[in-house]
Amino acid sequence: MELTLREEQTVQVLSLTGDVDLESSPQAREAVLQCLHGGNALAVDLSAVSYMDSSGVASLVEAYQLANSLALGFALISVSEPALQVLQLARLDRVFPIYPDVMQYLAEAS
Amino acid sequence: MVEECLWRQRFAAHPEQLKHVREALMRCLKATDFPASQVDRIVLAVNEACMNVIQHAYANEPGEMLLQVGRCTATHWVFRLTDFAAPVCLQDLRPRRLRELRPGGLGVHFMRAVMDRIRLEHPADEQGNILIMEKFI
Repeated sequence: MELTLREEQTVQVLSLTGDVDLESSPQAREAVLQCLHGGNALAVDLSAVSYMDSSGVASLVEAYQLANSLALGFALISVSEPALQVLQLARLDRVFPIYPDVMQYLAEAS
Repeated sequence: MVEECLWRQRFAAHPEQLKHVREALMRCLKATDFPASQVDRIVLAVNEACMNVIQHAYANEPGEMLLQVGRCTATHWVFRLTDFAAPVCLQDLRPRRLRELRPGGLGVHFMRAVMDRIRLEHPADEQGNILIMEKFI
């Protein structure tokens, strides 16, 4: 799994690429939590996620909960089909804020 | 009921092996007449079962697992995951309520959502667990 981070106006965008599984999810978890502890809103780009298991989902849940506790914005953007299917199976597609892209998230957040 | 073994492979019970398990299982299913539309879900469920073996049966200590794909009939598929750790009981494989928003506990839910039947057996004469997941297509 690869991670890239960029800034888009007031939001950090963390892009995950590849499989987010038990091997790589600790790295994803550390990255999302570190971004939030930096004090900025976070959008996690899942467009290039080819596989995600329950450990990957757990990292996103933890990040979402941390964002809420810190009163920071958090969203998933451009969710790939494999990632969406797993979120739907967990019924988290109705819990996470999900946007087609970061611009739509920014528009709604403002 | 006679089960035809289509494929079996041993893996180290380590997170680094899971991508190899998934790839091998996917190749196996795609080489059969298993419905293509359901392969991803089966791979997810089996991956979650392997994760449970790694994290709970072996508690992240070294170990091995044996994955076997079999078929009883054209529509009755059986996925057997054997480990050689101390026995666990099926009560330990309870899914959590989805309404509770917390990081863990989704793996068993995924397994039960995908598979039609799950049971746990123990070898008569040696240590270990055999998780038997069945899918009727």
